[in-house]
Amino acid sequence: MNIRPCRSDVLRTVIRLTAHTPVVFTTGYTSREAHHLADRPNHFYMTGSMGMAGAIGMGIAASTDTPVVVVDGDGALLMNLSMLLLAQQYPTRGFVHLVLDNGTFDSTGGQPTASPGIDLVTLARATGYAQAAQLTTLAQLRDEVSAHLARPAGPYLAHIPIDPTTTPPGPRIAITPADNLRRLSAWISSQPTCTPH
Amino acid sequence: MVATALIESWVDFAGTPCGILAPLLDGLTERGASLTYIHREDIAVAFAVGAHLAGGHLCVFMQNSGFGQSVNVLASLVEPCRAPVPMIVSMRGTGADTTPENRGMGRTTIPVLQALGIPFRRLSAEHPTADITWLSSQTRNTGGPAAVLVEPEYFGWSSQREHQTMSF
Repeated sequence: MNIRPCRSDVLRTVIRLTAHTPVVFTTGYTSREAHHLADRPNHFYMTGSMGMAGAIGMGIAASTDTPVVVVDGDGALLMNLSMLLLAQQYPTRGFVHLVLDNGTFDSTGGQPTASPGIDLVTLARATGYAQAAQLTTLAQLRDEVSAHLARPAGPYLAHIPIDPTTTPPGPRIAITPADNLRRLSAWISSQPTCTPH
Repeated sequence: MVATALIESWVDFAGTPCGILAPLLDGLTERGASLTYIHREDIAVAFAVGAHLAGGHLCVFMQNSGFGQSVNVLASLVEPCRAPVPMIVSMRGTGADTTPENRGMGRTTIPVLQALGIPFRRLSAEHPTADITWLSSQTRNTGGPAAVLVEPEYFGWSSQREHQTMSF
């Protein structure tokens, strides 16, 4: 039986691979746990506006030449599926969209989402992502994300089933949204590879 | 004149089309502006936050029904982040637009802008370039959102002819 990786191991793996990449974390426990594991200036914790992490990430990707990673969740993406259309409207090379799927709205008490019946990989391909795949191990995640950051080849979505067991996400995020925005904006403008178009 | 003023202030435009704004959107297209139609207005607003993060200069357009759609992203992302998001918002359900389905947002748009603390002004016939310049300086100087509201009659809209082609 395949044992799904847990959210914290997935976030640790992503954070380790993205020291030089802007990362947008979706609202709720994903942002809180990422902030708790490692608070870095290339992170944006989207504390509100559930469903919009991909749109923010695409806005960054469309304005620079740098890859961008979005760490989304099944509940958040399903809330705003029309966000997927941005992949064909802005076919940016370095848009890496990771969807952590625990099948629940974990942050609101673990209520079930519709994700078990939805094929996100097919949806992504149908809406304009250049590539989409399901990743079931941390090794696959590491290899795929590394490859897409090193050789960006169009919008990429990875569907990552994770362990649905709820775990403490750490405290609420200390940095204010305004400071978080300013910090990431300054970090992007300081990166030689993040040239605005 | 309005399209030219917009192009002088921003590099990119994104939003959801509206019959009231159609002549303006045509004007932007004719002048070769980078303009993308996004299928939901709140997605365009969140996209604009990302573009700003990466040093982009993007203006969002929508009709006020889409402003209703965008209230949460404005309240929970743009305002707390103090993200400079400029918005051109057409005012369905006001003035010449007596369509019943738009009355609610016609009445609601300005009170919601006020409640969110988003500065706004109406696009005037007398000084449209100054109004667009205000939108640009307001967002850049205050580091927050702002809106210019476009009344139905501005580009010749009427409920009899939803999309009138006008030169301007």
